[in-house]
Amino acid sequence: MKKTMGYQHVLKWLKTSKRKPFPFQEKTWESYLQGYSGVVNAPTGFGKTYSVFLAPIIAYLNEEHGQSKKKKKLGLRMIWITPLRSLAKDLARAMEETLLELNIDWTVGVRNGDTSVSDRQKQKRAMPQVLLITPESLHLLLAQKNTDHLFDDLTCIVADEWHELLGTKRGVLVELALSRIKGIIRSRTDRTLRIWGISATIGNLEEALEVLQPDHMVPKIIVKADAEKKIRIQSIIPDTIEMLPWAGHLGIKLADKLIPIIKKSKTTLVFTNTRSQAEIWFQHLLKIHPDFAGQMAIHHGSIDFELRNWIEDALHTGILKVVICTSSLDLGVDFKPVDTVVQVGSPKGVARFLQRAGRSGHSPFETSKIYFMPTHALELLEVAAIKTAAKTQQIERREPFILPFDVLIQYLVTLAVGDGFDDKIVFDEVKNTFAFSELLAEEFAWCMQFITQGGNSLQAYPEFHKVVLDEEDGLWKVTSRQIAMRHRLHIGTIVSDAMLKVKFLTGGYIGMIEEYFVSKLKPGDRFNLAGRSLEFVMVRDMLVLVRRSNHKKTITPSWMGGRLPLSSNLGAILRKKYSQVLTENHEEEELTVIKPLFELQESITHVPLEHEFLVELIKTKEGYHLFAYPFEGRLVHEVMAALVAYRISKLMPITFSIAMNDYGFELLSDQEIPMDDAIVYEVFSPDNLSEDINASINGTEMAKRKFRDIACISGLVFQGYPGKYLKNKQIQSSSSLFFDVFESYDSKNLLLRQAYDENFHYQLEEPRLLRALQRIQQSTIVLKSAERFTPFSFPIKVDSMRESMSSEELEARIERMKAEVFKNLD
Amino acid sequence: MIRIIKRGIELILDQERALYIPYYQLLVISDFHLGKSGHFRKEGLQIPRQVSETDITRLDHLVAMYNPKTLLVTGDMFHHHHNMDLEEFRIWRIENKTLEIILVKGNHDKLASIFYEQLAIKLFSIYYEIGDFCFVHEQKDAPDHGKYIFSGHIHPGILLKGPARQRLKLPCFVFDDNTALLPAFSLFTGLYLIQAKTGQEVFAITANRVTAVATF
Repeated sequence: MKKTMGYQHVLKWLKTSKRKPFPFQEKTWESYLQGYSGVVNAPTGFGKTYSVFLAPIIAYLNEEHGQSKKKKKLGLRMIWITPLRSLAKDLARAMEETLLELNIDWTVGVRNGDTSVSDRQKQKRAMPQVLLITPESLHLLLAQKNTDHLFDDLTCIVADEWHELLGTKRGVLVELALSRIKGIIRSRTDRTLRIWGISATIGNLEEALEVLQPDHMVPKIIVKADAEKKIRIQSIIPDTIEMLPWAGHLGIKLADKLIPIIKKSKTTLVFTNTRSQAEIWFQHLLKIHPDFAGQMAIHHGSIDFELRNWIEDALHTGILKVVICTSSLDLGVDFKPVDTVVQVGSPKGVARFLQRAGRSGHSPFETSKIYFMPTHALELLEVAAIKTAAKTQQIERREPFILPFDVLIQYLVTLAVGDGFDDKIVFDEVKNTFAFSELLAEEFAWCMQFITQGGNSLQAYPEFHKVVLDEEDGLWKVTSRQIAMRHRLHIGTIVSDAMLKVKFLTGGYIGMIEEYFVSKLKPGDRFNLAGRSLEFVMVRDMLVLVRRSNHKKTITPSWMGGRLPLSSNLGAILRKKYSQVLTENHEEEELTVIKPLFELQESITHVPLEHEFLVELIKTKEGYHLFAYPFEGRLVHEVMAALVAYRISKLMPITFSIAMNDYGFELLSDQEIPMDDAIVYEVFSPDNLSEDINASINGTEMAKRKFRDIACISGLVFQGYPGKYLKNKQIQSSSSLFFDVFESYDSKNLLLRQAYDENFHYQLEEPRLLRALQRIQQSTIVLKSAERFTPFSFPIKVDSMRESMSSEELEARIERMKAEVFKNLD
Repeated sequence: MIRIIKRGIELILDQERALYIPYYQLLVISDFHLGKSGHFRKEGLQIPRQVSETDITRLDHLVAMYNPKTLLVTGDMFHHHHNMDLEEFRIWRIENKTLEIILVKGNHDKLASIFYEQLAIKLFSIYYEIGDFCFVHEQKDAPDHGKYIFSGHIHPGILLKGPARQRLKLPCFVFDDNTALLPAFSLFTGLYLIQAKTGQEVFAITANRVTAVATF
């Protein structure tokens, strides 16, 4: 490679700015030139983008060099898939600059939801050589007519931030689009396409590559940068450890300690776990340090697009000192001025924490700095666990979706809206993707019947004409313009909650809040959004009209979703850390600080060792409590608690109320809970798991909730655009209605089956539950009794009371409970 | 079923989302939405045929059980334009020739008048009155002369909350001193959750019975 003209040209260009390629970049170029597909994995700031972007350019320069005569104008050469629209804009700018400096006359086009119609038309006439596109827009491209020739010059498709797409249905969109483009190219030339992914470190990189490029005949490689990114993780340690940590403080008690950190940094990003927490932090920081006004901003998914754009631009130019944000800033282009990151509360997973840390200190030899702000004392151990995980590279896997029929159905209609498709060819293509490698011929046939006849073969409906066979060319097509238009509007797999836009009476959008929250507002009520205090006036034309309010006392909207459970990877490391606090000599600051708390725990009941599992039976005035600590995350605990409750109730009639957090769960009853060393193994047994789960929770109700997204993606429910009125009132319906209809009349419906499967895997997390129960079964279960709450049980207890009490009542009651715990201890 | 008295006349609330008034031999349903599933299919949305078949079967059972003289539909009998579902209703109509059918027109009833004539459906454009009772589609359209008003249109539903975050949405009848809200007859309809007010009686409809949930 090194002798090739293309490589020399690129090298010369790098030299002019005193740079030279990293070994992993050369490795990538070399592999590319040899025809490999692959995944590049390198820390942020090391030029992952260039490693892949320059490869097809070197190849192109080499080709050009070999050809003397001028050939026809080059078409689309490279498709660059990005998960975020905001990424595309800045990437395109950087690519254009590079091409200009390299003196290559390629153009770079961006195509996503924001691209204007005229630009789309222009692209249709003359494709740019590099096209930056989101997975949804790529499908929209396939939904156009006469697209086959577009890919005649295509040599490379890149999936940027592939780890982000991998575990989602958007990743499946990418898989399907790739399968079709490969098919189109195969039918027209004998070229093979090279497919490259760019990914952060995840636990299953090999699988990530398999998903992206499932073809067996193609040579594949994972290129890892050997450079290591330095990350410094610093906990913000409270002056005094509260002996009884209660969760959900939001961490604002420690906010004072944040001020000097922000002051001495250039720009700080403060990550919170939820949007409402971000709003509260914003208000609080402003209160304790009013000088930040004007230098502080808030960024989350419910803030108006324009406003977010402005904040992102301001981050680039460095005029902001601090931005409070949520996962909305996890991804995206690097903000050069950001040199410090703060994580408030548990990040729930190692990968996410490291990704956030990587948002600071971008250039290769800088150190990323991240501060961890615990919201209660036990979270300090989480950061200790993450430090260990970062050292040993125990990063979570991203599980790819398997057999999402809703996405397949949407995709088939997409193809039918475009040039039409041959079902035999497309079946083979789809079957070759990772997501649908287990697809059965009869399942595909069912999907075909669903979109062509409106149901299974036994009930063909003459009036159903969604996708029809064109007798002339034998392709399946959508002929109704109305159906085609509606389908194009809803291509994609992101289903949003019913959200309403918030607008000032005097004009100007602020953001979005959930319909559910709006329904509880009365005119004159005040709430916080985008860091502003607003007074609700009325709802008109799907807009929430507000005016500015000067009142201090406001409520913060809560947004649904977004509460990720603790990853099982982090849970495992955390269990180990817990066992080490009292037993080992350690130098970790976090473990030392927390020691008195664990000594209290040990004096009341026990601190479990690594091979132990603690179950506490605690009797208080309130009743009889059972606490258990599997560290498997909220979702698993919810099901496990219901399961254990059910199994105990089979021994004797007894009623429980249930509470849980990411660390453990509580069962509470007014009767004494029958429990001994034998029973405890029985109720935590992995035997008869599925049967007992079905008996203990309402799976149908849960599946119904999962069906909501499925109905939208498969096109059963038309959502329209957020904030826009729906025109087709008479075909509006709710997904739960469809669910009931299919349950009663069409029980073999694959979408229905998918809802139950998704519930099983993603909500019940049954496989994870099974593994947890097997682990518990093999451990020593330590059963302890006490007459007061322990430091471990206290956060769960407090969390369960939060839902039913006002904050004043809650504070008072917690103080009383604390007093109880310390009684007679000395 | 549940029996209640309004203005001195007995009303039967049936779990099939219907109201029967024995004194007038009058069976009342609201928001039938016949043809809704067919309309969905025409638009490329997959709804099994059994949906409309079931609604017609349910009506058939009600008619067999109460043997009414008149069937009164308080609006939204037909969902949109003509489609195959309506042909099934035509067959049913032929088998039940002697039944008088009255329709108080709702916002969805947009078919040509010839169609109603063919099916021998008597049309009332705003309201229909019998004795002390007045039937309208939307409550706001009722004349103000002291009659007891029955209306449909909103598809009333009530949210029942149980322990352990259980939530159940059920269709319901809502009565107060002068008005009644009728549930939507068709199973293929959504629910509008009402907030019960003082002076209202709410009767929720479960799979096999009608129950008074609360008197406010």
